[in-house]
Amino acid sequence: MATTRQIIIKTENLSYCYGPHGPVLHNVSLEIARGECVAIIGQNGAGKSTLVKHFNGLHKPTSGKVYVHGRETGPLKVSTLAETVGYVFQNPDHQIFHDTVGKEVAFGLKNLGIPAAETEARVAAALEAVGLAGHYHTYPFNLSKGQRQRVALASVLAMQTEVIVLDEPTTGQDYRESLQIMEMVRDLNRQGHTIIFITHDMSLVAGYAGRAVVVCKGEILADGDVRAIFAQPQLLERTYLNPPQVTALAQGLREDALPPAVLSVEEMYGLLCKIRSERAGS
Amino acid sequence: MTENVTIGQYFPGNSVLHHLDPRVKILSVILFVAAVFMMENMAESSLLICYTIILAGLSRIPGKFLVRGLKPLWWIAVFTLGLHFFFTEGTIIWQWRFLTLTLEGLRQGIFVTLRLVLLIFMASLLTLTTSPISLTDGLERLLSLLRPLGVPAHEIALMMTIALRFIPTLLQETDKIIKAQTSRGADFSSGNMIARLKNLVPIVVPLFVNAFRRADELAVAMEARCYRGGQGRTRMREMKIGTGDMAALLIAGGVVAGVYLLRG
Repeated sequence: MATTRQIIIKTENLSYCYGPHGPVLHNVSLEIARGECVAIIGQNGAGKSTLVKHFNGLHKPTSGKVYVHGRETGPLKVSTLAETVGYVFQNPDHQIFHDTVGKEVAFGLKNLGIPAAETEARVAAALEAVGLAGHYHTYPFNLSKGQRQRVALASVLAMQTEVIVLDEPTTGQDYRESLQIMEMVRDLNRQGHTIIFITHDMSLVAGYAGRAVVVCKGEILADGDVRAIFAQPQLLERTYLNPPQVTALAQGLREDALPPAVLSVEEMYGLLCKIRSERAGS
Repeated sequence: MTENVTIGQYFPGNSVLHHLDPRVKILSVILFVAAVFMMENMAESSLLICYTIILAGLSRIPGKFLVRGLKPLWWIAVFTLGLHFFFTEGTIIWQWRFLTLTLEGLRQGIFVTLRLVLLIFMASLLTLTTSPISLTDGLERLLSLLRPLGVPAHEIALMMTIALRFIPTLLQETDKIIKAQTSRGADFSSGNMIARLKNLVPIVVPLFVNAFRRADELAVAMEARCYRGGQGRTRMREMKIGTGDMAALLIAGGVVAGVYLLRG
């Protein structure tokens, strides 16, 4: 990570109301730096989607400010912000309208004014990345829901925006597909894209995010390194989140030799092997 | 942007109009439509306007709400008005270049627009004071009188119930689709008329695809719960025509008769 943190998205005392029923978000202040991979977690209705919809201007703050690249989003159009922030929606059926997968993915690029030759190349690369390389001419409505979800993902990937927001990218995917999508997200992050994703799957948070933001009742309950967040099970319990099983197992063992948060089975395995060999040696 | 649509919306209340039997309300609206089409002179139109205003007052629905229902009509009204003003032959009363305004055009334009406004206003008054369920229930009862003629009353009523039920869903979905497409850089708020129409494709296609998919799922879900048409279905609420309902129907009939008698 770069030594100087370059802030790409910033919210300042952001509050948002849908109607007269009180705020959905309350005084949220958050900074996201270039190159981060941030997981937004919390219960349904906590305000996760509402929060991330501010990042590309779909929602404008009721009070407070949101900055993208230092520019306030208030007066900017969503279509302008779309050049910087890509947004993958939960439901792909709200966006697919072309008669071939290829044209569908090219739609965003056309809006950005990308030349035809480059569009072709980018569409091919995006389809390859989501595992739909052979489906350029397929009729998208004949694809399975999981595949349609990946078409939607590809259509945002192809735009190669600096920031990519994913609202529950793995719902409706089987385990292997989920991993494929998250591997792809990780690759993009390594290439320098800033990733923000919402999920209910804590193992994905442990496996892929660097930082986790816990949203609860419209406020940020905790924000920090994933390991530091999972090291506080009492805090997670307050908002009904369960850390990954392996993390809970390690915490339940109350073993001094284990760190406060173990994030993966491989890590646990390594640690246990080490402990065993140490004990055998002594 | 989709929140301003009030056609087909129900405004819960406790007024006289809310408590009338839906069959009576539907019949009264039909009578009113007949009267509106018979309307030809000032006396008749003032009678109908008064009748409408009194009913609107009785409904105790805030005026703001009633007027909002007419909003989508605004453009059509201006358009018909213009069309009739300048394209009707007759005595010329004003002329400027190729535009000629005739007395007959003026008269016809005003009457046609008035008819349109009255019809839409009364129809939205009906849906505002009648919940969708009792509306379709009433319609089914009325249509079943025509069953000997082969009118599939139950099916028509069911179609209407479903259509009304899904209007808010479709509006919500339109909103979501617009959000999804603008997030991909589509710009719906600029460009000329043709560009804007073209821009509708990315909204309309997903909307239709989802509507068909939903219809399919709904049909399966209904069959899974043993739906087999209207055979032997009973009702939770039985309808009874009371004295108030009879009076309302008489008044509605009286208005039509009045319009008929006032014809020159």
